[in-house]
Amino acid sequence: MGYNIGIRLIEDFLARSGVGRCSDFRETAEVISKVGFKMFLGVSPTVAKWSPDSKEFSLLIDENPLAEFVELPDNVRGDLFYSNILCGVIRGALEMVQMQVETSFVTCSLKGDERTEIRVRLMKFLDEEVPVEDD
Amino acid sequence: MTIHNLYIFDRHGNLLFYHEWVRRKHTSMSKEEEAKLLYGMIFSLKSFVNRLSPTVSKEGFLSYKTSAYRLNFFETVSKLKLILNTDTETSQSEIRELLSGIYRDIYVEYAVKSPMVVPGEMITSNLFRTKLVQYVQSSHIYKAN
Repeated sequence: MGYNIGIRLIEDFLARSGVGRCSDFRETAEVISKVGFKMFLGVSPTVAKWSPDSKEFSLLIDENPLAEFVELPDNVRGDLFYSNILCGVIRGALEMVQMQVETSFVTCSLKGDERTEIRVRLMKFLDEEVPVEDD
Repeated sequence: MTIHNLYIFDRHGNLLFYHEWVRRKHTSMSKEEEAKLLYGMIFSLKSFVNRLSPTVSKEGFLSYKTSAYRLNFFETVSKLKLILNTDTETSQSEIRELLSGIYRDIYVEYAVKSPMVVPGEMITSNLFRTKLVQYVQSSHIYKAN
C-alpha cells in the first residue's frame, strides 16, 4: 500500500520542492528527512546511525503523526507495525528515482518504545532502461 | 510563437499522452511507431550529449532546432519526459517554464493524483486533456492561429 503511495508521491514532492538529483546517498537521506517528511507529515526526523559504507541509515522520528491518537489493541500489539506504510512510501518513492532500497522498522512508539525508528538500506542504484529495438 | 505538439513519456519509454495543436506534416507511421522512434532518438541523443560533453554538467540534452521547428525536452528526476515541438522563435527559458509548469500544475494534479490514471498506461482522462490545453493556451507564449 505504501509502495503505491510512494510511486505517486514522489512526483508531487519533486514538483513542489523543485530539488534536483541528489549527488549521493547521504544527500538523499537529508532531503528525505528535511524536505520530504516536512512537506507531507510536518515532522523532520533525525538522520542517524550511518553504516561505515554509507549505505544504511536510520530515521529517528520522535513524534509520529500517523500514530498520534492511536493505541494498539492487546491482541496485535506484539506483531503489528502500524506505520509500516511509511516504509513502503520511502521504498516506492526512492525506486522512482533510481534507487532500490530495503526499509524496515526497528522500533515503534506504539509498541512502547520511546520513539519510532526506520532503517533504510541502499541495495543498488538502478540504471536507466534502454529502449528495445525491434526492427 | 506556435506550439505544435506535446508528447509525454514515462521512465520506461511508454507514451503516456499526446496532443497536437498545429501540425501540418504527419509521418507515415502509426502513433506507436512514431512514439517509439521519438523515444529512441531522445534516449540516444541524451547519451551522446553526455558522453561527448566537453564540460561537466548536470543538465544534458535540452533541445534541438531545425529551420522549421524546435524540439524542447524536459525530464524530471523521476525520469518522466515531456517533449514539446514549437516554432523556432520562442524563448527557451519561457518554454522551460511552461514545461515545468505543465509537470507541476497539470501532470501532478490531474494525472498523478487521479486514481483512474494507471502508471505506465496512456492517460485517457478528459479532465487531464482539457486542463492541459487550457494551461498551454492561456500561457503567453501561445498564439492562437
